[in-house]
Amino acid sequence: MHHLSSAAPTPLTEVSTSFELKAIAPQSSGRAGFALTHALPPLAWQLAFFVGPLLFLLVLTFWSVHNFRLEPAFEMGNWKRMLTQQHVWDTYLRTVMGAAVSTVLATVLAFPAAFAIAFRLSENARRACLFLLVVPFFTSYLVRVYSWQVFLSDEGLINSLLTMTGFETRRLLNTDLATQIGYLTLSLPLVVLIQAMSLLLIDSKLIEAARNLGCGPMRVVFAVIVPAARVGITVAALFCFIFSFGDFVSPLYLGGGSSPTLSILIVDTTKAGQQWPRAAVLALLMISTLMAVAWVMTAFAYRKKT
Amino acid sequence: MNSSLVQLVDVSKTYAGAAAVHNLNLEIAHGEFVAIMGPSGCGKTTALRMLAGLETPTSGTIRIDGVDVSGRASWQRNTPMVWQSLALFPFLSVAGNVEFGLRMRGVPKAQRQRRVRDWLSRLGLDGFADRSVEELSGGQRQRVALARSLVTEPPVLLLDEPLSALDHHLSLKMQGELNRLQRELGIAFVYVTHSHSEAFAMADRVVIMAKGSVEQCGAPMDVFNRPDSRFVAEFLGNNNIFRANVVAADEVKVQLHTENGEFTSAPLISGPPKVGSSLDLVVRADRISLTTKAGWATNEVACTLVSEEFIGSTINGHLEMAGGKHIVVQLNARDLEEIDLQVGRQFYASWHPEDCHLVASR
Amino acid sequence: MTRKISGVILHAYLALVLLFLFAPIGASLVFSFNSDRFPTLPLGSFTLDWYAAVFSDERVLEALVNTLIVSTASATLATALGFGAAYTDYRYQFSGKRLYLALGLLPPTVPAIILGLAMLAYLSRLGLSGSRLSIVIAHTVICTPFAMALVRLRLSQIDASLEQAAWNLGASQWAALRYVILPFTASTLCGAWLLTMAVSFDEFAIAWFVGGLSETLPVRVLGFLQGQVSPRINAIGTLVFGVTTALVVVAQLILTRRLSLRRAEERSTNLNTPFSS
Repeated sequence: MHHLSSAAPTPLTEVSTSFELKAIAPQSSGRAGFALTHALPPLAWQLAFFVGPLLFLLVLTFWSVHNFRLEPAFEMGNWKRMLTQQHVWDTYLRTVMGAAVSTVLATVLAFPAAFAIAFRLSENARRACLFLLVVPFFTSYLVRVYSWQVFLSDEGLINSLLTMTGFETRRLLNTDLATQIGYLTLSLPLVVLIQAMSLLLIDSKLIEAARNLGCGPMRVVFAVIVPAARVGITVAALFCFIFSFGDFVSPLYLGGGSSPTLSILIVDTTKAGQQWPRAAVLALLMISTLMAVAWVMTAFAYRKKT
Repeated sequence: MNSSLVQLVDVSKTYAGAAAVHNLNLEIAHGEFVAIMGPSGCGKTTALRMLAGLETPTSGTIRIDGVDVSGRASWQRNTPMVWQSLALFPFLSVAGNVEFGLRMRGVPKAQRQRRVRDWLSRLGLDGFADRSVEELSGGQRQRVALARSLVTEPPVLLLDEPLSALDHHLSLKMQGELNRLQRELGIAFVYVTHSHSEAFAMADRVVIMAKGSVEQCGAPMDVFNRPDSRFVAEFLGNNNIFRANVVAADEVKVQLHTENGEFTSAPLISGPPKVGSSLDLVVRADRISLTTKAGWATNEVACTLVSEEFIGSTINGHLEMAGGKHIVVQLNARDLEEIDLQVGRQFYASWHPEDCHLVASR
Repeated sequence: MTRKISGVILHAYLALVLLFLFAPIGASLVFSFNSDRFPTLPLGSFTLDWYAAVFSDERVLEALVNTLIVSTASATLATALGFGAAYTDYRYQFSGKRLYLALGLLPPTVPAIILGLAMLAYLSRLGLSGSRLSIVIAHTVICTPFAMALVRLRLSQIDASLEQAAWNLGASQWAALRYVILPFTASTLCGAWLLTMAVSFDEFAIAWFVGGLSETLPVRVLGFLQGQVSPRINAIGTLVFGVTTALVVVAQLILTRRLSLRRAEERSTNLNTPFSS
């Protein structure tokens, strides 16, 4: 163990003066400036370009279009027109149903995979799997949807295989099934990821306790694991609903677009019809539905156990 | 002109309505080693952080060398702190850590390197300049933290429980080295700790805090011999406290009535107390003698041995008096030659009037 | 059912899910080199014609340039703004903080089509629509949350006393930021930059709405989808997928490598037990 050397210390007086405390500058403004430089720009940006446009959407619903020009106004015409048309409600219901089916499908199909990742893989395999799942979440939804056409079209891979093995060809593309496959391609990575994360967070003692009490494996899953991961499962399902509800690519390019969804309607109304106020009404209908669904689902997720 | 280096004048710090520090008044002289102790939540760390400039006082003034620094940010004072977790920068080498303060103040490179080398050498870390912080042992990291704080040659060094995480042996060694270092350098040390032994071993002056203010301060010997409140007496441990009523009092002695007997004590420093007033009588455990026969000293209580603790060179005996109250007596090895400690045996615990004192009941 | 059998079934299922997610890309890759116009079995001959066609298509090249400019700009802005928001969350307490954080983290939960319409109307009213700038503005909004979350996570791993020690030793807030916080978050900032670039690179709906005549690559792909079936889509799709995957993979490697490095740091600088020699 070292001892302090007994070398003569540098005389302190020589150096103290070189560290005269700097002249006082107004402290609070200097420190406030630092804080605001970090805090304000993101806030300003999101207010200007996220909140602003969404609020404007609301305002837009009251405007009118004359001779292809947008004019500020305050009239209920757009609301009346869009909300009284039968086909709008048909489309709306179709979209809700499609998203709901997709949510249930994704949640159920994802669970065994998430279970496998959380409980049946080694540490390394698990990391590799999660790594692999992050990739499709961030890449090329469009390309993957198009590629499903490769599989599902009448001359596509699946039908080719069927003919090669002597079966009849089936119409796979332009069906609701194809749309659902598209929704799955969109949401499944995220749903599996979120479910897997929340399963990984379950206290293993809980599961051990259940086993010790004599629960069979299936019972452990449904009575202990699923409830414990309820929040994660519900959040994943909510994201899935949001994605499916808002997507137009799958219903258009895989579903055929003949039975349009709300999102397709918005695209048409905006791009083809140039009727932005009417499209805005549909968009608000979409937003309010999503908010209601989100509220219900988070209330369900976070409710206290009875 | 006041010769004190650091002055805290009526300093308070409140968080959301609760006062962490309340009207704190403290002065620290040049070159003084001050230890601040107290139970958790007493405000000692908050006080230290205010000195360092990491917290701003809600009210009151802090002066260093006569300059009011209360409003100044930490980087505008020269009050470096040795952190409990050491807070060494993991991405810098030892030299990089030590020169940090100089670099921030714009000292040119050649000078910095020289100073760093000097200090590393002085702290026994020759040749460690280019090592990575992660490779070092605990004791070595302590020294790097010290060097880093001292390289800017501050008038006062702040230390926040720097030895609390070390094992006993290393802690004792570091205590000796810190002491030596402080004497050599002649700068003031403000040392926050919860360990009595550290504080008493190293400090010129001890400050005991409770609930945000100073309870008592003074030289270690004085505080230890004469705690001036029930709180401090209890905090220091090894004190017996009796609630007492004054029966008679004059300049020389005070007669007291307690539920365990009539006792005589030395008078209060401020003069004879009023007859009938309630006070606390404090008797240190090592000032009490145990005898098998009565009559050894003026103050005496009959008691029964309930348990004993062997603490090395001393033994603490816990005895029960009539009425159920317990008394602690500290005996050393020599005393034990004459007394046979057996649980259940009857003894007389006795002490002289000058070996106890009175404090105000609070 | 024994654990072993259920294990095998679960492993197989997982493989199936991964196959489901990656097979379309695989098929696209294969058929991008296939000489047949229609993707059927059996395969035709190997050809690079479709790639050549893609690279010689002027609109594709223009779209590629636009995408590179837009994603780089959006990633840079988003990373900077995300850092600011994350640092604010890390360091300061203030009333309304929850609202502040919500604003920063909400955008990914709003469907792209709604954001697209809203921004189209809003920006064109401001005269800012129909250009690369519009896309950059919009993409920054949706990318900032990712950067913010990543940086915030990294900041929570710093020992809080490090920044304070820097101040205490004479570093102003800016200096402490530069000499303590930035070294710590440097690799996370890199990873966030790459990841947000991938997000922007791949985003098609908003870009389609607000970009007007300035097409990004995904918007061009959308154009192809609306046109005739052509294996060129396979080629361009594979390329786009390749680029964004490379970005995401590199980002992940940077970000997770930091995680294990950090565990090593933690072990040795964990000064609750400094007597570690």
